[in-house]
Amino acid sequence: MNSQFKRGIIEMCVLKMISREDMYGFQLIDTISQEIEVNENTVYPILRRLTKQGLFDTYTKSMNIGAPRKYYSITEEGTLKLSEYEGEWRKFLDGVYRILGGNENEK
Amino acid sequence: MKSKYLKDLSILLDDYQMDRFEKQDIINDYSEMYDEWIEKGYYEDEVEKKLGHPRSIIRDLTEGHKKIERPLPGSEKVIALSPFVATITFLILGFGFDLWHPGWMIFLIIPVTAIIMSMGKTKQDHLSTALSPFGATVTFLLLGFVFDLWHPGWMVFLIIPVLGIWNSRYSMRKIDLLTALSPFIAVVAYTVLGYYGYFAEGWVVFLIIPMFGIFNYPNKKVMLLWEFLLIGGVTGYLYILLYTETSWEYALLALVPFGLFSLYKSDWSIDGNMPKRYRLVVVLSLIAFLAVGFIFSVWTISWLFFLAIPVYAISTEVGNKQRIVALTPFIALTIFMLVGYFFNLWHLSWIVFLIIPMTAIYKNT
Repeated sequence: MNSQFKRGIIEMCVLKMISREDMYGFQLIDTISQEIEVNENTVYPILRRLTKQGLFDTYTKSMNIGAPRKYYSITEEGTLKLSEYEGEWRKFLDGVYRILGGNENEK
Repeated sequence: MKSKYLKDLSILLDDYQMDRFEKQDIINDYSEMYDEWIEKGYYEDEVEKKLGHPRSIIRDLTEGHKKIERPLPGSEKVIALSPFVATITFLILGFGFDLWHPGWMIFLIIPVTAIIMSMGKTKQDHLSTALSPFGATVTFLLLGFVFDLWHPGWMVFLIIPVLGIWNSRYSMRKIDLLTALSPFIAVVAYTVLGYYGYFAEGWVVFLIIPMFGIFNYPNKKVMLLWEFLLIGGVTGYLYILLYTETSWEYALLALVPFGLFSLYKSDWSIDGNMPKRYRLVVVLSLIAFLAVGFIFSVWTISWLFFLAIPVYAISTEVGNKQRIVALTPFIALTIFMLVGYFFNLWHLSWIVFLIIPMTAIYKNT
């Protein structure tokens, strides 16, 4: 799959996951990687970029053992962006399904 | 180990235009990730393998950030002075020791200085790629003029594409790197074998290219079977050819199982995840090298096709400003070799190397 295309999809998945619950980076990667093949070097730059764009807020939570963790939470702007992405994605998928379905019917 | 990993990452980040908070943010993220993997029970070397070598991840981390240019102290002066230093040294060598030839080679310090000063500003990985034509040219000419080893002396030029690939190693997996280097290992081995009269049998060394490529095959059992057929085929071919009275056509039968199996599996590309265009450039340059070499018997210059590899690597990996400076050595070397070889003007054609400092000075101003 084209890496730019994949990155765009992962960006949307990251937004979606954080919109469900606040997460720290490693937890997010662990959850996403159960469904899609991703690694730290793809997800962390996305997290940083989206935070810089104001779609996420960050806060630290101290732990009983080890260093404090940085949590990401979605902002209002992030929620709006996510719904915009979801709308575009559904429209795109509908188109793809229509094309693939059309081919199958022809056969 | 962790502190060294983070320090290496931090040093690499220092080469990019990025505010210190963002840099610290990246370091903190990687520190956090490192700890998480350790907590999960991984050893430090396993964690570093998972996270990736700092040099291999730096591109992803610094996307959209420019490299910082750090002019080397007095670089403009050094570039400007180099022609005078070269001329004075040339005259001393000529008048003092009657070494007009090969003393003229001293003029190569002019382009070398320009490249070091220009590319050194951004610590380009491809600095040694850009310098390699000079090292190779001097070695080739000395081997030729002093020992009359024009052939196989031309093989030193293979260091140029090899360095081009080697300097791109952080963007490749290890097996892809080996696959990419294998054609050059094969060409050197084949030329050495041919030198000793083993041209007919020696071609099997080219089979190391699919041998490395097959290691990429996802199914390990199939991969082992495939390798077994290849190694068994080569062993059988050489045994029949060297130890029996049978002709080479029959010896080829030993490679038939490997050939058939490869056809059966031909839906899969043997060079795995290596970028497609890299693959194409390596394969096309190898084909052109062999075709022109065999048809016109010009091995001394047909290796020039391999320059397409570092040229491609530089064109895609070096930034706009340094690209033309890094590419001029290859343009100059091609002109130098063609003029030197076809018109026997080695003593004059070196002048073409002066386009390099000229380009560097033009770009810097």
